[in-house]
Order: sequence, then structure tokens, then C-alpha cells
Amino acid sequence: MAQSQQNTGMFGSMSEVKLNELRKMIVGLDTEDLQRLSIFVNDPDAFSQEISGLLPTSIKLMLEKGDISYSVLMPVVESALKDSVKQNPKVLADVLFPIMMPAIRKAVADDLSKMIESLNSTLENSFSPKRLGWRFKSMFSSSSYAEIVLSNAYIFRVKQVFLIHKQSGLLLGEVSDNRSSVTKNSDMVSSMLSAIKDFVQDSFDTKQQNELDTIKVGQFNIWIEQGPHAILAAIVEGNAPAEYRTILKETIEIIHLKQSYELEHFEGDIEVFKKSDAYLESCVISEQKEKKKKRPIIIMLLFAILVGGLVFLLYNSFDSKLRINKLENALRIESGIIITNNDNNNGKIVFEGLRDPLASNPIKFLAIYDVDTSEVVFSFKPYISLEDELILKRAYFVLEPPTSVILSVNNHLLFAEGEADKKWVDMALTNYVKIIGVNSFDITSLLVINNNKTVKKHVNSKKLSIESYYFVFNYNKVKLDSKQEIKFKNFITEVNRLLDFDFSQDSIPVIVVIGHTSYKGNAVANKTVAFERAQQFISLMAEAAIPIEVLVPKTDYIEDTNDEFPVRSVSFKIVYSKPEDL
Amino acid sequence: MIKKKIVMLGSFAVGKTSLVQRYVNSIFSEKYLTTIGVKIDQKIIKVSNAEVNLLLWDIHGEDDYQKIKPTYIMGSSGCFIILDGTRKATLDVGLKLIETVKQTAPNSSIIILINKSDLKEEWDISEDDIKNLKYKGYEVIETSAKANTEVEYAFKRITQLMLN
Repeated sequence: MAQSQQNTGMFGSMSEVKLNELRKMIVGLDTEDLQRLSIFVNDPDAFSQEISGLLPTSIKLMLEKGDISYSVLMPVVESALKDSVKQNPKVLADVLFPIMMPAIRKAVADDLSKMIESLNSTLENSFSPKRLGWRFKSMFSSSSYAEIVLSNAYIFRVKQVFLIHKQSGLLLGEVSDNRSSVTKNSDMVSSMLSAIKDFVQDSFDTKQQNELDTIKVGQFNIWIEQGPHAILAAIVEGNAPAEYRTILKETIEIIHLKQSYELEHFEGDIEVFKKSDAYLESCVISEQKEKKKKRPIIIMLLFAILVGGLVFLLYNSFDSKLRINKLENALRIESGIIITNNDNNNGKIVFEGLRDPLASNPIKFLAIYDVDTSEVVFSFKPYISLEDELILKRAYFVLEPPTSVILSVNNHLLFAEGEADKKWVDMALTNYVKIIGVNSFDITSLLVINNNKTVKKHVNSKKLSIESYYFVFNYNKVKLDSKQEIKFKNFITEVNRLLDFDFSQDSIPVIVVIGHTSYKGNAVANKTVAFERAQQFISLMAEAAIPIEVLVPKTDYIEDTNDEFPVRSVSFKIVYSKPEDL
Repeated sequence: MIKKKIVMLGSFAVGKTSLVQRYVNSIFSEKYLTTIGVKIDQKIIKVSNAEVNLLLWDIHGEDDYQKIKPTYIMGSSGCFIILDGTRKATLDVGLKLIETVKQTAPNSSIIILINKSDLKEEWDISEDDIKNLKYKGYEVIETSAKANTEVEYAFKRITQLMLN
């Protein structure tokens, strides 16, 4: 036992070094290596720390070789993320914060910008007649106002679209609206645009996410949409809707998706980008104005009404002035009217002056010259005119001459001519002095006649006519046949003319109705019959409203066949006499 | 058609603008140089039966007050570094600009143009300086905008380099 221990101890002391060498020869590891490995085996933390440096490289190599795939790793990563969020969401939030916040901010800013742009456009176009029309349209259609505005508010035209290489500023492709004059020297323009973009971004903003997206040049807006390798620049005339931005974004995205390699490795050959022209063309859009330009009927109508109104007012004013001028001229030459002043008072012309009471009434001139009382006012004070015309009027007014007398005035001398009875002449000679303006009265040309003579003359003028009438009747019969009725009517008219006279004097004309008979047979009886015939005829005349007082019946015998009137006739004789003398 | 972006860099008053003025199609006024620091010109050149559309970015000369914006250099295929032979200081600026170009547009072909060759007697940049540049691998062309010397060639040459 003791020897064994001794051997062991000796072997142990001698063999430790040799054993180590032997072990190194066999397994290639010395004691230190074994101790290190022992630590890895016994201490997982230390082991984990050791392999942590190798694991990423190892996974990368495995992925490259295809030993594992992303789809294998995905559930692990997803689970890990889920667990992390479950346990403490703040950790992941802190990790994502620097990425998410700018992204969210950019998205919100983009949306706000779009909304403001849209709102601006809508507000700008809200109060025109066209937009008011849209309001009515929305009221009477199923579309909302917003829909109608969106479909009408934006009238714009994209003239040209450039695809520009972001790094070099070289023009990769361009399309243009056929109707537009395209930008010349597109290459230089696109390079300059790129330089301006770089200049603006470098000068005013250092944040990568804030990119220049619009340049306004006069009536044009250059809309810029930037991708990682290329830029879209659209030259827009007018107000494009905010939705156009989305079109540009989608276009630059799809170009990057389709030609990512070409863009990244661009070395100046632009032919390869021809295939993107179709995408660029999708950006060349426009909203045309109404195809058929409607004539501004309302404006034309209003203008016509306005012009018509003005012409009417001018014409009225001119016409009114013309008419009033004519009226004034007429009044100025009218005897007995003196105009001293005319003035415009609240749109009315006030004529002031003097007027003889016997002068023409100025109101009657209004109708002649088509002037309304709303246009003029007369303010005349009375006066006595010494003009011949007014003196004459005054003479007629004072003397009231019979129609057979004609008066005239010349230089304050009153003349009378014609016929007048003595009574009137006496009155006129007495009263002419009352006529203001008359200095003397000349009646040398006036025939002064006696009243009785006058009546006789009148009667004589009718006598022959009446006395030429006669009516023949049958036996014992006084009845007018149809022919005689006409004759009788004419006869009555003549009689009425005779009696239409001033018979106020003492003598009157009397109509003697004579019944004619003959001596044949019983002459006395014949006379009686003739007298009755005359009486019956008087009755007929009385029925015709001839005063019976002036009708006297009488009989007469026919002496021979040469007599003026036949047998059984009635004739007439006018006698100027006092009735009681008959 | 092939399109290439060429930037023209150099210190102020080295003659960048004068160098290209009569050879290019230009629509923008000089004021852009002092406002946004760049002006774009265009030149179409035929090299080996191929038409190449060159877009020349004439970039405002770098000085103490205005630095060149690297974004203007990005994406360029060629670069003219323009020096004024009569001012050696422009060489130093040019070398710094070359470094900027290498960082910003590493694949850009670079040609150094030493301008004002019509005043060669007055040059401050020596033959040794030029040899030194060539030794470093840069292609150097002596030009004169005034005398119309080697300008057209410079454009052809840089186009060849870019296409290769």
C-alpha cells in the first residue's frame, strides 16, 4: 500500500509533465486548453459569451448556403417581438421611435398638405357664379356638393414631365402634352432643376425627410416627387388637385420598382429608360375647361339691359328737354303770357311769369307738346295784357256781339263790321270804354238795322218756299199717302225754320192754310168741306209740333182751270201780322 | 444617346466660364453662378462615331467665403480641375478639389486644365509642378480660352476617358 502510494506519488510527480505532453500529442490540447473547455462546459454564461462572436457570422453563412432560410427565422423573430411587446412595449417603442416618428410626421404632413391644398383650391373657387351653379346642381341631383366641386374645381394641365437621375441631374426621360410648347433644352433645364433642388435642400433644410416638392414659376408650378435614385418633375399649368401628388408618388415608385438596377447603375445611357415613358405619360393629365364655351348670356343680357336703360334714360332726358323747350318757345310767343324765369326744382321745371286771365291756359299746351304735369309747374301772376289779341278777346268778353258782328283791334282801335241791331250798337258804344286797351270804337262799317225790318226780312226769305207747297186730297178725305208724307216732312222743316226766330216783338208770322174748292154743285157745301179740309190739315201740322196759334184756316174758290192750285187741295200763305189782325 | 455630367471646378477667376463660353450651348445667365453657385451648359460632342451629350456644371470658384457644395459634384462622370498658370495658389486649391471629387464621385474621370497658356512666360506653376502632377497619374492639358488652345481637345479627351 505504502509502495503503491509511493509509486503513485512518483508517477504522479514525474508523469504530470509527460502526461501533459502525451495528451497534447494525442488530442492536441494542453492542460490550459482543457481547463478553458472545462469552463465552457461547466459555465453556460461563459460559453454563451464565447460563441456570441461567432453566431452572427455563422447564421449569415448558413443563410448564404441555404442551410436555413428567412422563413425559418421569421417565426422566431416574430415570437421574440411578440414576447418583447407583451413583457415591456416601451423597449420596442424606444427602439422604433427614431424611425417611426419621422415617418409618421412625414405622412401626417403629407396628408395635411394635401388637405390644405384641396381646401385652398375649393375655397378659391367657392364664390364664383359657376360654383354657385354647382351648389344648385348639388341641390337637385344625387351628387353631393363636394363631389361636384371635385369633379369641376380643378382646371389644370400638365405640360411636361421629366424623369431626372437624382445623383447626376441627367435627364432620363421626358414626355409632354402634345398641345403644349415643350421646354427647350430639357437636358439643361433638368440639370438646373436638380441643382436648384440640391441648393434649396442644402441651404434651407438639413433634414433628409424634408424634400423640395414644389417650385412656383409664374403661372406654372413644378411638382417634384423624389425617389431614392430618380426624381419626377412635372410642369403644371393651373391648379392641379392634391390627388395629382399621389399619381406622381405612384409613378416614381413603379419606375424604381421596374428599373431599380438601371437607376442604381446608371452610366449615361438613357435608352434603357424608354420603357418608363408609359409611366411618365400617365402623369401627363389635364382637366379641360368646358368644351363649349357658353356665351355669358346673363352678363350679355344684363349689359344689354344696362345699355338699354342708359339709352332710354338719355333719350328720355333729351326728349323731355326737347319737349319742354318747345313748350317754353310756344309759351313765349303766346299773347298774354310772359315767362320771366324757369328753374329746375326737384326734377321739375318751374315756369314763372305773368299771365293775362284771358290768355290761353298754359295747361292746354302740355298736351300739345306731350309734357306731363310731373315735368313742369306753372307759377304765373295775373296781369293785363295790352296786346291787340288780348284786347280783342277782352272786347268780345265785354260786348258779347251777335254772330253777325265781327270785331277787330288795331293799335288800340276797336272795329266792328257786319250787321247789328240798334239796341246792341247802343250798348256797345256805351260799354267799349270799359275795355282796357281800347281807346276808340269804330262802327262805320257796321250796318245798324231796325228790328221789325229784320223780322220781315226773315219771314220773306222763307215765305216763297213755304207758299210753293200744296197738298191734294180725295173727296172728304185728308190723309197723306207715302209720297205726301215725305213732302209733308220737308214742309214741316221749312215751317220750323220760319218759326226759329226771336218773335219777342209785337208782330209774328202767321201761316194761313187755304182749302181750295170750286163753285161746281153746291158751292156753299163745297166751301164747308174745303174749310174742314183746311182744319184737318192744321191738325196734322199741330201733331208735327207746329204751334197752333200761328195757323189760321181759310177757304178759297177755284175760278178757272188756270188757277194756281187744283180743286180739293190745301195751300199756304205767310202773313206777317198781329194775330188779332187776322 | 449617352449623357454625361461633367463638373468644372477650380479656384475663383481661373477662367472656367471663359474656357467653355464659346464652345457650349447655354441658356442660363451668369447670375446663377453667384446665386446658387452653379450654371449648367451643354455640349454635344462626337467621339468614335458616338454622340455624347455633355452637361457641364460650371461650379462657382471656391474661395474663403463660398465652399463648393458636394451635392453638385455627385453623379458626375468627368471633372475638369482648372488652374490658373499664373497663380500657383490655384494648384493647391485644385489638389484639394481633386480630393473632394475622389470622395464624392469616386468614378469620375479627372483632367487638370492649366489655363492661360497664352501667358506662359508669366506662369507661376512650374514645369516641375506639372511633372509632379503627371507623376501622380493626373492627365494635364494646358489650355487657353483666349487663344482657343486645346479646349476642344480637352472635351474630347475627357469624353474618351469617361466612355472607357
